[in-house]
Order: sequence, then C-alpha cells, then structure tokens
Amino acid sequence: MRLTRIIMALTVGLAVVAAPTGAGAAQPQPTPSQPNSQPTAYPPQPPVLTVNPSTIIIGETATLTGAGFGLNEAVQHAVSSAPLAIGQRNQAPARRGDGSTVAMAPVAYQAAAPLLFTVQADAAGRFSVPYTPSVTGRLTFTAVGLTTGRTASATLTVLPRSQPTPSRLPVTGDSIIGTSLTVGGGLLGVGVVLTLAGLAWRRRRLDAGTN
Amino acid sequence: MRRTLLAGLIVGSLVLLGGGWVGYRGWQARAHLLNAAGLAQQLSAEVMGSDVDRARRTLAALQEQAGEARAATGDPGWRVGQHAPYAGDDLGAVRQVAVAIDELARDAFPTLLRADLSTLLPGKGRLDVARLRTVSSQLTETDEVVRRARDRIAAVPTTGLVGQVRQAVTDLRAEIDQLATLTGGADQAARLLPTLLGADGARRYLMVSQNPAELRATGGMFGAYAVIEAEAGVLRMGEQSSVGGLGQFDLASKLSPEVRNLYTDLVGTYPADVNLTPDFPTAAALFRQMYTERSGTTVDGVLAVDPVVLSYLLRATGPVTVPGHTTLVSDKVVRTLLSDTYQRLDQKGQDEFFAASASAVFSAFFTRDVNPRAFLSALDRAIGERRILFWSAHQAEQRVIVGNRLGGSLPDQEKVPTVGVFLNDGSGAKLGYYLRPSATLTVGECRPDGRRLLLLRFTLHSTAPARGLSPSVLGLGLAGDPYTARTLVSVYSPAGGAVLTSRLDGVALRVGSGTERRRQAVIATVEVRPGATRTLEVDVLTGKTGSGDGDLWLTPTATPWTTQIKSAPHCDQ
Repeated sequence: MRLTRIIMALTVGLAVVAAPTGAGAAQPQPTPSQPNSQPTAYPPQPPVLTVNPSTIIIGETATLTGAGFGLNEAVQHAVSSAPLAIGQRNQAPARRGDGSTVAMAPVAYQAAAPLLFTVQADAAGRFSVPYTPSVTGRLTFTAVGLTTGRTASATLTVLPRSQPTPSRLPVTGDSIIGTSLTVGGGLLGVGVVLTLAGLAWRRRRLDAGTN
Repeated sequence: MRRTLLAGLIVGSLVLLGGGWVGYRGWQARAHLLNAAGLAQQLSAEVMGSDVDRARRTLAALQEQAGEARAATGDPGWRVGQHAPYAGDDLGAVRQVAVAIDELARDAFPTLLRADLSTLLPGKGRLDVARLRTVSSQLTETDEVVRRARDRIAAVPTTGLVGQVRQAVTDLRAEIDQLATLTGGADQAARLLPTLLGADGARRYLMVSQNPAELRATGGMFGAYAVIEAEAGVLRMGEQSSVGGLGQFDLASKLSPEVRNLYTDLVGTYPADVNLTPDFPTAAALFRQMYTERSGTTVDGVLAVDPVVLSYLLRATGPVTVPGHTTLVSDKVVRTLLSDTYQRLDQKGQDEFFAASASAVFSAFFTRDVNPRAFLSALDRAIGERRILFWSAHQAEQRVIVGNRLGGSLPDQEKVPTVGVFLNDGSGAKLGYYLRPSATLTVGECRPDGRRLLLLRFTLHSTAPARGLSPSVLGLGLAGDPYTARTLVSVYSPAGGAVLTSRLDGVALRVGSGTERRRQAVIATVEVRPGATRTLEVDVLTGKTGSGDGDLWLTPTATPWTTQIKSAPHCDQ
C-alpha cells in the first residue's frame, strides 16, 4: 500500500506557498570576492593547530602541531576539558566565565598533564609537541602566539579504557512477557483440558472393562 | 456412556462448525483486505495524477472493502475465537488491522482527497490564506485519526503470530508510521503557514541565494539577496542586492565558542562566511543580524535557495527566455548560471543577467499554466536535497521548523548515526562547479563500550580544464596553482561520537578539530588538480548505539553526490 504518497502529495501541496519565493530562486547572483578587499581574506584557511589522532584512549599520546605562527615565537597553550557524557544529552558541561568548558568529574589517571604550557615555534613558525592527557573527555587546546597574538584551537577526544564486555541482559519488554504469558496460559489451559479428558476417557474404559 | 459420547459429538461438531465459520469469515476478511490494499495503491496514483473523479470512485470502493473486512471480523464467532489458544492472537491482530484500515478509509482519506491541491497554488500573486486555514483544521482532524490508527496497530503484539499475519501487521505499522509523520508534518505546516504568509500581520524575510560554485557547508556562498514582504497571503519582492556589498562586521564575540574554535572569527566577520558552519539556524541568525546592522530594518526570517532549485522548477515551467540574453533550459541552467556566465560576462554583465533571469522565471510562474504536479515534485525534491532552507526569528515557529528537513539544523541527537561531510571552498575561486564528490559509509564493528565503528570514504574529483578559465572563475587562487581547487572538508561524527584517524590517499593526514552540537568535527584540506581525484578516509565512532544503519548529511553541490551506505546487522543480532 502506498497510502503515504497521498499524504506526500498534500504535504508538498502546502509547500507550494513557496511558489513566488521559489521563483526568487532564479537569482543565483554569486558575488565574486569582496569588492573592497580587506587585509584579511574572506576564504577560510587550512587549520593552524592540529592534534592527531583526533581521538585516543587514556594513556596514549597525541601530537599537537602548529604552523603559521611567528618566527621563533613563544606559543602558549591552555587546555580545557569537558566530559564525554555520551547518551546524556541534556547534561551541559560546567562553563567558565569566558565560555570555555571545564570537566565536571575528571578521572585522574596518572601524574596530571599540564593544563597550561608554552612551546617555542621554530624559525619557520612551526612546532610539534607530544601530549599525554590525564583525564578522559573532550580536551580543547587553545594556542596563543605571545608576540603575534595569533589564536587557534583543536579538540582531542580521550576515551576511557574499554571495560570488559558487560553480560548482555535479555530484553524483557512488556509485550514479550505479555505474549509469553498468553501463550503459556493457553498451553496450560490446553494441558489441563487434555489431562482431564484423558482421565475421563480412562475412567470410562476402566468402567467399560469392569462392566 | 452413550450420553457422554453424544455430548462429546455435539461439542465437537460445534467447535468444528465454529472453526469453519471463523475460517470462512477469515477468508472473506483476507480477500477484502487484499482488495483494499490494491485500491489504496490505485487511489494514491490517482491523487498524484490529479484525477479527482476517478479517485472518488476508488475511495468509495475502498471504503466498502474496508467496511466488509471490518464486519467479517466483528461477528460473535470471531470474538469468541479471539480467546482460543494459538489462533486467538492471530484473529485479534487481523481484527485490529481491519478496524485500522476501515477508520483510515472512512475518516482520514476523504479529507485528504477533498483538499484539492490546485486551490493551494498561488493565483494572481497571492495565496488564499482563509482557504489554507480551513485545510489546516481538516488536517488536524486527519492527523488525529491517523494517530489513533497508529496507536491501535502499535498495540498489537507481533510475537507468536502466524508469519503472514505478522508480516501484514509489520508492514502496516511501517506504512502508518510514515503516514503519521507526514500528516503530523503537514498539520504543523498548515498551522504555521498562514502566519508566515502575513495573515496575522505583515512579515518581511530575507531570501538569499547560495552559490555552489564557491562552496560553503550549507550549499554555497551567500551571493545575492532580496527582501520578500508578505501580507495576508500576498508576496512582494522588495529590495535586491549583493551580499558582497554589505561589507565587514564585528560579530565574532557573538559566536558560540564551538563555532569560533572550528571556523575562526571569519564566521562573524563576512556575510560570505556565516555558513562555514553546516548549522543553518546559526548562519541565518548571523546573516539577519548583519543585515539589520547595515540597513536598520529587521526581518522575520531567512530563506536560502540555490540555482539547482531553479533547474528543478524550470522542468515544471518549460524553457524560459531571458530578454536580451540566452534561454534558460532545465538541463543546462546550472551550467549557464554557474559556469558560462563567469566565462562570458564581466561582473556588471553577470549581475544584469542574473537579475534578468530572476524576473523572467518569476513572471513565467504567474503567466503560464504550470502543471501543479510537476511543480510540487520539483519543490519536494529540492527540499529533500536541502537546497531550500528556512529559519524563522520567531522562537515558537522555529521550534516547529527546526525538526524539519527545511530547517537545516544540525541535530544534537538522532536515531540513525549520521556522519556529516561538509565542503567549504578554500581557494577563493568559483571552481565548485567542476567538483564531483562521492561518499561511501560502511558500518563496522560493535565495540565493548557500546559504540560502533563507521568508515567514511570520501572522494573528490575535479573536471576543471587545465587552462582557459577566466579570472573571475579562478578568483584568488589560494591553492597556489589557480586551477587547483582547495576544499576544506569538515567531517562530523554522529551525535555523541568521535573522529578517530584521517588518511588522504592512504597517508595519515593532520586535521584540525573541534566540536559542534555534541559531535566531534575534523577539518581536512583537500587540493584537487584538474582531472585528478583525491580520496579521504576517516574512521569515526558513533555514540552508544546498537544500530547497524548509518546515514550521511552532505553539502548540496552543483552536481549531485554519488553516495553509498553499507549497513550491517544490529549489534544484538
């Protein structure tokens, strides 16, 4: 049955109100780049700060790499973290005054990794530094070039170590229990009837035999 | 002894007779239900074909069949049979199916048939708001009937049913679920539309056109915009201008830290960059604020469309001649607007041509006898591909829109784990027209922590020529070679998930990263030379899920994507 198509036709019919506006779709006037070009170009640039891999398991090490900073510039890194909270979508992470988030329940793993550190860029404005987090969650690194003021950020997901597979509990939905009860009840009923019938039959045969 | 035998015989005959009767009625019911199913199919075809008279006759026949089926399953014998062991639940299920179909046939379908689509088409530049209100109240009733039928069928337990009956119940459940989603959506839309169209006071909207020649996550850079005024169902196109003329802004401090971390201050600086984020409500709200700052007037919402929408609409209108220029034909319009124009005309000429195209197509809709069916399916397709997006500045309205595909909102929860692949141009050029993207998503292993592995394979091919393109196509040429398209590819994990590692042509790739709406996102730089193809592979983790399905959310491009999703069994199986 394709009942849905009937409704589909109607739904789309309602979308028809977009008709005059749809006609406006006829003006794809692509603006070439900004007429009065500003020093900062409008097209987005490749990322300045990267952390790889993007996700690790607690205890592993990720590499922070920066490019495009000042020559030999000191680059300060601040690390903030937010809990993973998978499956708890309404739980907002705690926020600092500046809008960054902080872990609500960090799990200590080893000697705490630094949450503020400075790295020296090389003569080409690049750097690469290993980082071993001591908490799980989403870690956001914010790098600030102390001379140029250039800012960039990257986010690392740190997963907890896998727990041993929990034994799966059988799914016990209401409907299933209900159905098994019905079926079971039915079988029980049939069983009782058969037993009674069998008894009655035997009695009768016994009676007949004695007669 | 003889008496008991006689009694047994009578009881036996009664049971046999009863069973025979119920079996006979069941056979009747089955025949009626099968007829009803066939008629429903025929009905939907007739409705789609706007064949109202024939559809009415079909509906009458359908009602008769559904009524017979209901009657066949409603007699006392059947009711007694429902308490019998084994077959009882099957009889009960068939009864519920018959009742649900009868209710739909009597109370839901007639309303849908009465709602004549052609009266909803705009005539003489206006839409009948009063008529829409009537349709709206009818739709609300229909939606209630469909919901009741859904609840009825949802309550039928399927375990223990005979294969054929179980299949029927499962199929009907899926059909009615879909139907309920649609009537629910139509109901909401019909209630919202009169207000949006200015029935409760004049409304003003910004309509922007996205340009896929220079890609942005929601489809393309905002190019031209027009102010649309709506009052009592009458729509007027007001001021038209180019987004580039709005200049620069200082709204970076208004951005969420997540968006700012991923896409930098550009999002709050240039109107051309508000949609570096794939979340349309974020982009639209920013664009509205920029417009208000520059013009001093506020608008009630933002509507975005792209030239591919125009190509779909031209299929309904037929070719449209642009006075003094070429003729727009559906098959070629994307090429005409996104490629030829840049090659052929200077910037002033381009603007004139686009404006002339707009008014030509606009008038075609009001002067020609457009086939409503073709027109509707064009719109349906455009919305399905997220090429028409809408955001309302009124919170109550936006709450309804946000759950719809039209809303273009990146959800922070989902049933099917969805991986986002969004494209932003990094070369400052109009090479997007030449890009051919494709994506394959493979559902992988179930992990002990409840997450599931997904493998994304994204390829980007460029059909750009190696020479001969005009400076207005090549633009800033930020990739070095002006013919090389640099695309910043954002890959978003499913909600609550994470992105593991990324490889470009098999080599580990350093990617930028951040989060947006409970998803981890990475940004990879992919540069494609003319004729070349690059392959980006990204391993992604879902949030906690057992689902073996996966879905993709993609930037709509000038040439549609090639996609494939390789599902796997549920983790519990």
